[in-house]
Amino acid sequence: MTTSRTPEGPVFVGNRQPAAQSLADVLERVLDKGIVIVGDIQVRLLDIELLTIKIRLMVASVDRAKEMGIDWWESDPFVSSLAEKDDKPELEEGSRDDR
Amino acid sequence: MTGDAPVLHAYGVVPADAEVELPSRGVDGAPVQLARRDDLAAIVSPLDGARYGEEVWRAHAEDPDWLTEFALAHQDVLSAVATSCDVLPFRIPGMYADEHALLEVVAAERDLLLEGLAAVRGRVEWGVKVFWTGAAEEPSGEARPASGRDYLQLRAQHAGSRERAAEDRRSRVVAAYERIAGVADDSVTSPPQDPALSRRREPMLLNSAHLVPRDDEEPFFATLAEVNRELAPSGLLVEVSGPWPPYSFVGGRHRAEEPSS
Repeated sequence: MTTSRTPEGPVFVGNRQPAAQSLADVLERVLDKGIVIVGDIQVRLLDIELLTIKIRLMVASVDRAKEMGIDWWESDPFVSSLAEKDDKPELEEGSRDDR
Repeated sequence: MTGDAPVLHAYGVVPADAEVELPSRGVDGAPVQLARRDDLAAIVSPLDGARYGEEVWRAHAEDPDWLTEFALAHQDVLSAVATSCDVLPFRIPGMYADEHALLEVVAAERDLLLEGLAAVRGRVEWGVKVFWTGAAEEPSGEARPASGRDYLQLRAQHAGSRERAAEDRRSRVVAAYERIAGVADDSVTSPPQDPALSRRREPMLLNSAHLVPRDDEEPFFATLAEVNRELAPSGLLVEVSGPWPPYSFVGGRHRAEEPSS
């Protein structure tokens, strides 16, 4: 699952031994999807789920977070430990001035 | 309540009669086992409470390296199982005091779990993303503006054409999603991923998941190849990931009719 299936086909990205870009796919699924069953248990699941809210927001869109009035990622060391400094998004639709 | 009592991590649930090939090691190198209750079996690993107990989770809930390592180990086990066997993946943290506590919950939620397993029977999840690479964007640049007014007019034209191009891309992506969804048994879209996490600078126009029969993937791949050929000239890049355990089809959250754009 690490190479294209067909010469002109879409790009296939592996999900085992994930490369940097598919780490987001793993976290999105493992932290934000999947089934939750909760019982009267020693480890209080939902409580901890709340604590992981930051990383949950990471897998959602910046826009959605902004709508919620959250902009911690701009200066948060949490973000920079995941993202390279020079990997800031800069290609945004309509944001470039023509000369 | 104590930090050092052992805990049980649950990866997911499979039918008790399934022929599961479990990987030998899971999270923290712990053995991977089945805990059976009636017609269901949970995939579990006993973990050291001092390393994965409640307090430790609390301390590391915002620690990306710790969470990532745990998430990858969790995913590796589920992924290995999902290639040959139906599985309902659990979200993390899925920690239980012991096997008894877990099986009580499994028994209490039996209907939900059986229903979930039925919904994904014989199927795996494939992820599809569409990025805009910006490659086909440039307006045909010829005449240089002769005056300030010409320049402003030209700029307005370009802004208009950019908007139309963006609108065109959106409708192409929606159409592509609908075609792909047409050959999948179920489909959902999610919000685009944060560029800081995905490490992609290109705008993500589609982030969808599709439920596809494990033994009949060709129609899905053929459609993806067609869609890719159609989108490529517009600078739209299709990326596919999988096969995943059907994470996106067991929780029921983030269901959406339209892909986000």
